[in-house]
Amino acid sequence: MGNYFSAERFVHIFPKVISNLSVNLHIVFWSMLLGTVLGIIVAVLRIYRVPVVSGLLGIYISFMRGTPLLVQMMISFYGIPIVFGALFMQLFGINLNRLDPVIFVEIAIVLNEGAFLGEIFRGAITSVPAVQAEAGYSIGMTGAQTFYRIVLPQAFKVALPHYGVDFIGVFQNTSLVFILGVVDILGKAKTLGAATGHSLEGYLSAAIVYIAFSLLLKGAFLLAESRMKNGTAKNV
Amino acid sequence: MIELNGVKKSFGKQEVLKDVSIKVEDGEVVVILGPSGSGKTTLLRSINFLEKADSGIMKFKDKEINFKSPKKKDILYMRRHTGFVFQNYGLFAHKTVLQNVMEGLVQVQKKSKQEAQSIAEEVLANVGMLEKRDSYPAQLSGGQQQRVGIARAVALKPDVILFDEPTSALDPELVGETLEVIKAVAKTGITMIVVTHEMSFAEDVADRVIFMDGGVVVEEGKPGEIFYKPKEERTRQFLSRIIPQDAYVI
Amino acid sequence: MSFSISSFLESLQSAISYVPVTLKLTAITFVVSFFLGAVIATVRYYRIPVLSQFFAVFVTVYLGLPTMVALLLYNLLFMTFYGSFATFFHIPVPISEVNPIIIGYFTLIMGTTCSISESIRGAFRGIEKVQFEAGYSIGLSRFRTLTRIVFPQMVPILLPGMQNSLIGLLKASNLVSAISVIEVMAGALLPSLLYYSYLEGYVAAALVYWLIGIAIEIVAHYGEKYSGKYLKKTA
Repeated sequence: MGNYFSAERFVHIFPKVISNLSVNLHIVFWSMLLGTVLGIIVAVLRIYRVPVVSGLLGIYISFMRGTPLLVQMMISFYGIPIVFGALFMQLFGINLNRLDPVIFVEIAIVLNEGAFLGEIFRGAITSVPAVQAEAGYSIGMTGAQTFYRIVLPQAFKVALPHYGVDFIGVFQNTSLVFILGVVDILGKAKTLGAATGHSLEGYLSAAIVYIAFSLLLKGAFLLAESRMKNGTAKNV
Repeated sequence: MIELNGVKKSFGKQEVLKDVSIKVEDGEVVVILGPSGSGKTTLLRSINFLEKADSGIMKFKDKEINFKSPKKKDILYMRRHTGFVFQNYGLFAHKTVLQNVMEGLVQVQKKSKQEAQSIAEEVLANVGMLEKRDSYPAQLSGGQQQRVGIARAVALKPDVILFDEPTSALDPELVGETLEVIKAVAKTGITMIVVTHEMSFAEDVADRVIFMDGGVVVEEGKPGEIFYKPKEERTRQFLSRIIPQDAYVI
Repeated sequence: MSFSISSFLESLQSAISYVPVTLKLTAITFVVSFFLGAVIATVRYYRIPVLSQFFAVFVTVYLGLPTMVALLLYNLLFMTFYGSFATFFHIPVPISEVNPIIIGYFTLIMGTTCSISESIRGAFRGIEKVQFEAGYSIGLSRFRTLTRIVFPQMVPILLPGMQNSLIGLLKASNLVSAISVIEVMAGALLPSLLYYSYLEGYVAAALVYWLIGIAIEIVAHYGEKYSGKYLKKTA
């Protein structure tokens, strides 16, 4: 590859790129944590078919699933300061325009995950055969006890593989945040490329980190699945 | 018509066919009996290359095929000259009853759609399934599905039809109607090899019964000989388990 | 600052005028990827030596690579090597004349092929073995058993996943704006560049994507009903 690629530059750049993995992981951590909570709320509200709320949630889920995450991030980035800017200035004296863009990224991913995980959780909960809940009631458990002790643990096993795929997806989606000026691994690779005039080593570093970490996550979820393979009720 | 010599087959370390040889004459109806795991189904499937035997020779009409290295065109030849009826019916799930029977006529035998349809309708009428011609397999009972499975095999006018436990997946009350259909097919004089557990059927229809156990042919003969005067101890043991004791009193 | 309806409408109009670009990018990528994905899945299903192992490793690794990273990497490689490539093959077109959408197609096809091949592999597992055997038993060749018996039965199994793939692809197609291809999102932003009306631009883009996505869902819904009719227990 002649002058285009140098192993020396690669060895030099790789540690710099990977050091920004913490930015990606920060986004993944908060997005998944809050997104999971939101997803559970969405799923439960949808299952109980609360009037009006259910319809609104349907529109929310359709929007989140039907539009690109990048567009959602941008709407969050430009829209939140416009809609809530004055309010936050008056109440808390916070200028939303000065906020770290990573916050808007995280808000967008949390809302996005609320929809995707909400559907995953809803599917998992409804997949538990009705007789399982009935058996819970039959031994005198309350509705809440039945849900937490009987239905939820079984739904968890059904949801886990989908949750794993979704989790890896969120990690991979952090590759979009450089567009908003967040310096993650890809952002770092781009910055270094612009500064040195050699981008290939940085991009390759980012690609390797992404692939390696995705495979690691995949392995971790497969391990978790195989640990809890037993005890799934069959639909009859 | 069809002759197998020294057929061997192993699944991993387990030897399911240990040097099996059988011969079936033109127009003969042969029933293969034996406990499960005796290798009878594997033998039948090997003839149609649904299972690949490890070694042995098959003579069919004027062809001689080595199981060790069958040619692609020989495999296709065997499949095009034999019919197969599956234990769990094996109807094409996405095709209607009529389309199931027409598929081979049009795609393999290159008959025109019209000709294929009139053949299919005739054969379906023979098995009493013409009314259900536009139903999908999922809408039929097991017995109905198996009658269509038989019609599909018969329609292609093969030289020999292979039946792999055609009634063992059926509810008991549906076994009778299916056996009647198979008997009717047998009366047309076509060569048949039937793997089954239905003793009364074997007695009524078979020209010859082959008893297999542990991957070998233990003995063979006319149904009367095998059922009432078995020579081998293993045959006797097997029969005593599946024929009710009073059946011996004749 | 506030939300300007007139800027929004202008962006919406501009976005709509680029719908054909996005639709073409999505449709061609999907069709090509589906075909390649089916080939890879079939090769892996029949465990064809060497090729199936190669695809197994390739697909697993490649699915770890985000589309954006792949896009930037391929774009860089293209920029770097196009000159020597063009000279070698005597291609008289200068790099400035090459439409960067080629790189977009390449990137999207690579990723979509890998994910679709996994879906099709899953669908293979949903077909009973006896369906293959029944095809062989009436004398169909292996190839025709696949095309006439197995693949048609996969359609209803595949449809929900393919609908997701298609909408996912529609949404991913906007990434090519990062290598200066103008599609719905970049199109919606053209008026924004003049007036700094970015929010209006992105909302307009979102609306257009959303409507296309809903249209795909409606079509897929009818497709599912039609192709799965044989699965129903009653006529």
